Amino acid sequence: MTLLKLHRAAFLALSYSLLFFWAANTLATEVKPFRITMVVFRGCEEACEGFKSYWASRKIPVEIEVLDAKTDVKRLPEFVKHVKANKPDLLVTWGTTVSLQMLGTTDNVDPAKHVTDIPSLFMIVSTPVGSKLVKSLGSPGRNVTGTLYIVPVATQLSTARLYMPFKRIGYILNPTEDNSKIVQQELEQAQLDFNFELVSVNVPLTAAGKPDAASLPNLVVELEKNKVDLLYFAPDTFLLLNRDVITKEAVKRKIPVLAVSEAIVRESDALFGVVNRYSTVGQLTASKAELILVKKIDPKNIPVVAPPGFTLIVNMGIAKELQQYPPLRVLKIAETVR
Amino acid sequence: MLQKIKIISIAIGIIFFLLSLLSALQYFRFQQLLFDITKSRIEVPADALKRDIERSIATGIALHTNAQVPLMLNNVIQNNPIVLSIELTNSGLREREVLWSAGTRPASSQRADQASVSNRRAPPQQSGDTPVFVQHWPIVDPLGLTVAHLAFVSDKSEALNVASKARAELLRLAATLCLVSIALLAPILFFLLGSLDKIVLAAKSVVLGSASDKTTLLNSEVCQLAQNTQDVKNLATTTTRTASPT
Amino acid sequence: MNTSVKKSVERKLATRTYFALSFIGLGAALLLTFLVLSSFKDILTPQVLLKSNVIAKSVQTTISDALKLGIPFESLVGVEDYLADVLADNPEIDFIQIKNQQGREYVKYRDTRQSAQSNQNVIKDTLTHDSLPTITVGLRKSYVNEKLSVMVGDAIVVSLVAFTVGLEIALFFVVLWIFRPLGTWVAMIEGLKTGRAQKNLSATIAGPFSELVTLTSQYFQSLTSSVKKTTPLTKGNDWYEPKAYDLRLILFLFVFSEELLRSFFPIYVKDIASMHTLIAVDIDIALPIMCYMLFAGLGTVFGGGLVERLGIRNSFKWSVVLSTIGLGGLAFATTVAEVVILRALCALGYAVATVSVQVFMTKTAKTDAERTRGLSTFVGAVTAASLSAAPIGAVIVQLFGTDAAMLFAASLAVLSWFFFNGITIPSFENSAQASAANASLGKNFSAMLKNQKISIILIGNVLSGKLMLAGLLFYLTPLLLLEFQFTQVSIGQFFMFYYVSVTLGNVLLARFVPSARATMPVMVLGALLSGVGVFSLIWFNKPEALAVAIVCLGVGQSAVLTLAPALLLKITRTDLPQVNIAHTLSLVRTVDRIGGILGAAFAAAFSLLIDYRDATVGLGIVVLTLVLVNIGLVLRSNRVK
Repeated sequence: MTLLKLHRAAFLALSYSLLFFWAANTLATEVKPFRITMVVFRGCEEACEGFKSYWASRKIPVEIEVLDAKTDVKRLPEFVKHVKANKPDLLVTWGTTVSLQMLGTTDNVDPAKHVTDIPSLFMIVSTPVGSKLVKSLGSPGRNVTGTLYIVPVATQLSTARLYMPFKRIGYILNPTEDNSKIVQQELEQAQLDFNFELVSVNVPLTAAGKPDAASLPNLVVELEKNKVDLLYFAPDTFLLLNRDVITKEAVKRKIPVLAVSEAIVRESDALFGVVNRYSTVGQLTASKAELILVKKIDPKNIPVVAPPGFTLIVNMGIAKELQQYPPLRVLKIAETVR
Repeated sequence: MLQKIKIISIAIGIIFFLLSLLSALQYFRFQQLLFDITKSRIEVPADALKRDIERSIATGIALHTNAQVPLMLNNVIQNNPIVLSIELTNSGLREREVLWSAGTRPASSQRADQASVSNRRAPPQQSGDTPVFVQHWPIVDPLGLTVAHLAFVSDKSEALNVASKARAELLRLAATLCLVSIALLAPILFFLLGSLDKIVLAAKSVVLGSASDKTTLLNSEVCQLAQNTQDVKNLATTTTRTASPT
Repeated sequence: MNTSVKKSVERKLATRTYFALSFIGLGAALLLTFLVLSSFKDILTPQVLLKSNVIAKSVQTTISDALKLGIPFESLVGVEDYLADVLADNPEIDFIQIKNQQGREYVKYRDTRQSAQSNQNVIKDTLTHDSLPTITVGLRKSYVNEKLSVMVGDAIVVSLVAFTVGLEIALFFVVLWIFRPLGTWVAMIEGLKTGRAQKNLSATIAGPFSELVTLTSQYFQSLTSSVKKTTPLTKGNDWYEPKAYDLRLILFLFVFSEELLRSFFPIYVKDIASMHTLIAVDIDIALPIMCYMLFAGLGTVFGGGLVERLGIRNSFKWSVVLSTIGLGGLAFATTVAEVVILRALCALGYAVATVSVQVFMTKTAKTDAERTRGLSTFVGAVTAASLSAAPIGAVIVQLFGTDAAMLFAASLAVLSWFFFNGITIPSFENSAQASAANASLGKNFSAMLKNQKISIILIGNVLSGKLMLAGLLFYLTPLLLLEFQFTQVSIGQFFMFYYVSVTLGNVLLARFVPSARATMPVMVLGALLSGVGVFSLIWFNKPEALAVAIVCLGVGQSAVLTLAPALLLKITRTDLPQVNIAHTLSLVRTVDRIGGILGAAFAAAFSLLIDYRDATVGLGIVVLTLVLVNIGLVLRSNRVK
């Protein structure tokens, strides 16, 4: 009996010791950093930097691997394979093209070609629902969610109205890009609410079926003939690549340009833009990433949202050239660039 | 006479109490109003500074590396002499790290900042202390999160000087009115209480069995009571004589 | 004293003295307010001008920034809109003018009908600069008047507070110098008539009639020594038979000490809870209040029995001890748990003390009219303390801090005992009644509740009135006034309507005590009036209608609070002689507290479903439905006839 008691005591002592050392070890072990892979299209720009800076300020350990496509779509399938092999804790994609190539669409996803088993976040995507990345903004419907960066059309128009009155808005439509068509539809719907007329001109296509960049200045002339008060610059990759041509022609024709991204105001000749700062979008995306990684929330339960505030950027040099200075009310809330 | 003086003293005491309490409460209301007006002066540049800092955060530059911020703070202090110091602190709950500051923060501002809202113990004013207002504004980033706090420390001494002038004026007015009230009330009460003396004298003479004014007897309840006393005494005396063996 | 004598010299003297004191006192207060506000206006105007200078600088900076961006002055866009924004943010500004060195100007007036003509009611402040445009800001002279006008309302409230406290002090001396000596003298005369008792003058008689009392006392001494063998004289106690008004100042001081905390207590608890949170800050703030209500309820229920067991003096003494420990302890409390315990002590002390005083006031009455006056005195003292304590508490906190205010409250409680100790408490009951007092609380409560008349009075008048008070005044009024965009200060002023109405109603009731037959109808009318006032909100959804509702409530309650207990005591005396006064009053106060809880509950429930105005009307419907129960009383009394 005594021997039995001794055995029992020894067994208990050993169990407790093991438990103690395991606990100590667990506590002593450093918390492993989260592994994030980010796939970007043209280098780590402000959104990417904003995403990275978020973690340091929140003191959450992460390892971020940035895969740069350098504007070459052909690299993306390799990145898919790389991500599948490395299995990071989270995949972040930059831009519509990268996101569609890496993640597929809600009605066309192939586990062989796309990443499906890793929680994913997209950012700098103009129309996630239109691109079929998610089913709806409120319920993504799959293992993918993200953030918006385009300020809603209604917000842009009401802010634009603070700057100047307008009756006619000109729009250059790229028939080969879905984003362009979707935005045109949104503007058409806003005509009644904002009491304006939308004047659209289509970019002609080349023999190869691509949009013709050479025709862009003529399109601006056509808009001038139609007496538009404002040119709405759509979030369209083709137009973005030719933004200098379009905006210079518009200034020449005394047509102010309303931009949807800050680069068009800062680096080209748009008069003003109602934008979300890319760095803010990056930070918002990181906050969603925190929900997935730290709080363990399923991406399909995280709605796609935009940052709560936006920035009004005004190019004062263009304002002087066009003699369209911003009202004082606008100056007090706007950021100015020359 | 002594009784009259006592009654008049009580009446004067009540008037004095009424005017003192009224003065005290009026003074505190005024002081609150004055402090609110003074603090609203600071709100004008503070709101502008807050907007500018928030706009700079929206550009993506971290607050602690933004060299524009100290220039902005100094600019506000130069344009607003009443502001003694401005501090931009991080949003830590307990210990706040000062990111940027301008001006010299007086020692008394620490006490003013730490003083609880409920004012459990009125903070003792140490000699040489600069009395200050401490006002806080949150700095919010484009995501709507509070990332920093802006603390303005402004000079309260001017407001306190104004308040003390108001207090002196108030005391002067209250003292004058008190004296005027006493000057009015004392003779009136003296005159009114004269009839009280008459009543007491008449009642006393009735109780002592002397002759008294019948008019006073009829109109006065006290004299009626005195008459009742006398009647009962007379009845008791008669009873005693009847019961006595002599 | 023979009160049927009208227009006696003494009454005329008392009336004239009262009016002289009131007229001069209130006149001085009014004049002080007027003069002080004029003086304050002159002091404040330069301060407001300093702010307008800051605004001018801000405008100048905005224009300067625009000019630095390369926008020519004449090409500035949206200046009028911007200036309109500045005017909207700063109500004291009448106009802003921006003028450059070339004479080009932009100007915006608050009132668009104004032109460049000079306005007499505006003070101009100009900010110049070597290279920047000149900014001229016009400050409205009426702005300072508007700010100070808020203080006028305050001044009225403050005058009322000070007058109330002064009146209580005056009443104390009237009792000490007039009523007590005359009461003693009347008792002596009765003693002479009946030859009843050789009593004592245990307390020194002061005042103008002291000599008369002394003379009579001396005569009494001589009478006794000469006829002591012939006329049997029995030993007794003091000549002076205590009356309800003897405890008025004592009750006022005690309730004042408790009500002093009302203005700052929630902030005090929040401060402690923020530093040492027990559960969660919001819950911690509510805990002491809930605990207070619970223990006050328990104290009320069992207070009557305690008073009967320990006696009035001892129960009041222990109440003061509990309250002193509770109030004084709060000055040193550092955790929410300590605050909760100390408030429990305060609640017990308050409940038992008020029951003791009420028992005293009713037992000293010999007739129904005296009982009604006694209860009216109770209501008057409590209302006066409730009205005056909170503003004074706020001033003490400003001057000396919260802890000092708590200690001051504790010292007032002790002071009330100091005065109480000087009062002679006669032995009210013989041993048979004392043993009856030990009958169980439960049995007595049950017996009373089974009595239909008592139940009707409790439900139809006491419960309904308190339900309306708690629901309308304490819950819905602040919310309604916030909807009407009133400030906190103004909300406090609205509360005064209630207290003033109760006070005035009470004074009238004490002066014109209803006859025995009229008591019940007047009480029912009071209950009806308490509930009916809210219906004015149906037609006029305005603050004035709310004020009418509150005044109706106050006037109605002044009748109910006095007459309901008086009637109940009369009924228990006739129908339930085994039930003692203390238990009766305990039951009334218990139902009163239940009404308070139900009132808040109904108001909260209605507010969740409908808007505040409709919730108020709904509460009125509930109250009137309860008041209709009184029909049973009316029918019973008709049947009896």
